[in-house]
Amino acid sequence: MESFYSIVYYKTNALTDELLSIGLLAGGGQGPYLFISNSRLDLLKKTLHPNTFLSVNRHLKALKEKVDVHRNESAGILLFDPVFSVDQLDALSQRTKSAIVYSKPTTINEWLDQVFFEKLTQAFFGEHKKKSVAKRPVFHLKWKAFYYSNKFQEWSKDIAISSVIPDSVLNLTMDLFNHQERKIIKGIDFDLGKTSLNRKLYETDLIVSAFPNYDITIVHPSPKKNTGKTAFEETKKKYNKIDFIGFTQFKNLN
Amino acid sequence: MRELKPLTISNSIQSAPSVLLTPEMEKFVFIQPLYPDFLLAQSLFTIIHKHFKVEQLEAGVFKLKEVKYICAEEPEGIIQVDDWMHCLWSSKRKFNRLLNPSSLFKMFLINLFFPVFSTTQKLLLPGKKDRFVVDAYPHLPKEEGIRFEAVDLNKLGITQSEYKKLFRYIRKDLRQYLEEFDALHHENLYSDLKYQVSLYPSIRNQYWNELKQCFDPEFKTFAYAEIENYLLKL
Repeated sequence: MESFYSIVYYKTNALTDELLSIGLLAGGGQGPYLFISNSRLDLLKKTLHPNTFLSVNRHLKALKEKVDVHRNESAGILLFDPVFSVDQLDALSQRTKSAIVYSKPTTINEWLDQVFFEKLTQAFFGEHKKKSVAKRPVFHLKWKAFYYSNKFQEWSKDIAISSVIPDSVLNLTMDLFNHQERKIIKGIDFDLGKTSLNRKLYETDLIVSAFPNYDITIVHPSPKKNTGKTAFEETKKKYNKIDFIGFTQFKNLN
Repeated sequence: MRELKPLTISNSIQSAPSVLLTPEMEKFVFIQPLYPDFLLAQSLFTIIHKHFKVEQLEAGVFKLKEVKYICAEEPEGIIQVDDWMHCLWSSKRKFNRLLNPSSLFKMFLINLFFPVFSTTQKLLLPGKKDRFVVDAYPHLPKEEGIRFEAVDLNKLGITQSEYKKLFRYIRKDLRQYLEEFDALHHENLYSDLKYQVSLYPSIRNQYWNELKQCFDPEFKTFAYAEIENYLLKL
């Protein structure tokens, strides 16, 4: 099947009679492919009502998913591609008169594949697709999800010191607290910024002095930064009564 | 239909009047010159949709250089409902972002039970949750009035797998919507429509002959059976 492309426009405002090209849909070859220009969406974001933008963005995302699914599914049967054919796109471009408009399909004299499609989008929008950097999940979120799981049903979670010791005015919370077994567990990431880490250590200090007869355990991920490593060593030296245990190890134990 | 007061009228690139801006900053798009036939068709269209509680975009009239135009409200980012956009409900999670899928079902029911307006444009209004509305005016063939033409579900397009998928999510409620629709399809609507048609003496016979066929018991049974059959197969 011949390769073709169709430009996806957004009609920003009926009064100004203008269309903003926001994406490129190409079919044929190894396609279909859809490219949505992020910088142009940013433009739209500044001009549209937030809820409208939310909806448009959702629409485009769903469209991209549809195209991607179709590409992966049709890998086995390349000759049979009825949804993203020239005829279909032509019909679509004629019936859509609303906010999202598709231009009439135009033939490309080239076999369409990923590399070529990237070149094509570069020619149309002058924009490279940014490679997403895999983000490492933050420790305190993982930790909170873990101690809120069913594994610690008998423990009190995020309980304030003042609610355990009535005389105390301390409002700070302990992550896990077990009155019967006299155990307290707290999570600290030593790679945190200086102020946050100092606050966490100060909290630990207060807990230690408030509960002298309790077993206190600190759960921590292995520190990556140099500052984190030194802070960890110092704290370990300072509190010889506290158990320090790595997060992975702690998960395996429970 | 209200008479519009323009704050300004903008011209399109082809320098034809295209959009009217009211003092309340609402945008109305010029559709076509108004002829008496159309005025009646428009009011019937509005009565029927209002009666079945389907939200409709607002229409207005405006006189420009001795020609009366019908104008339709155009909110920001409105899109036509089409089987192409089935990706918006391809999973239950996505489907939940549609506010009123029942409204779309009612629009199809109106198309089935009142097949006098050749096509009705169904639209999707963007928002935190997208909601279905019907266009401000009926899309009639040029210079022609309404014409009764019984449609089956295939012609309506409701049997396409894309729409079936949408309605399958609310399969349990559809029967109730149908019953509510049937309960509202009563004598009062008949007399309302008849009264409206009688206001246009020159075309009332022609219009009423077309319109009264919608209330023919045989036709109603046919339409009801069609949709019942659809619900069974869904």
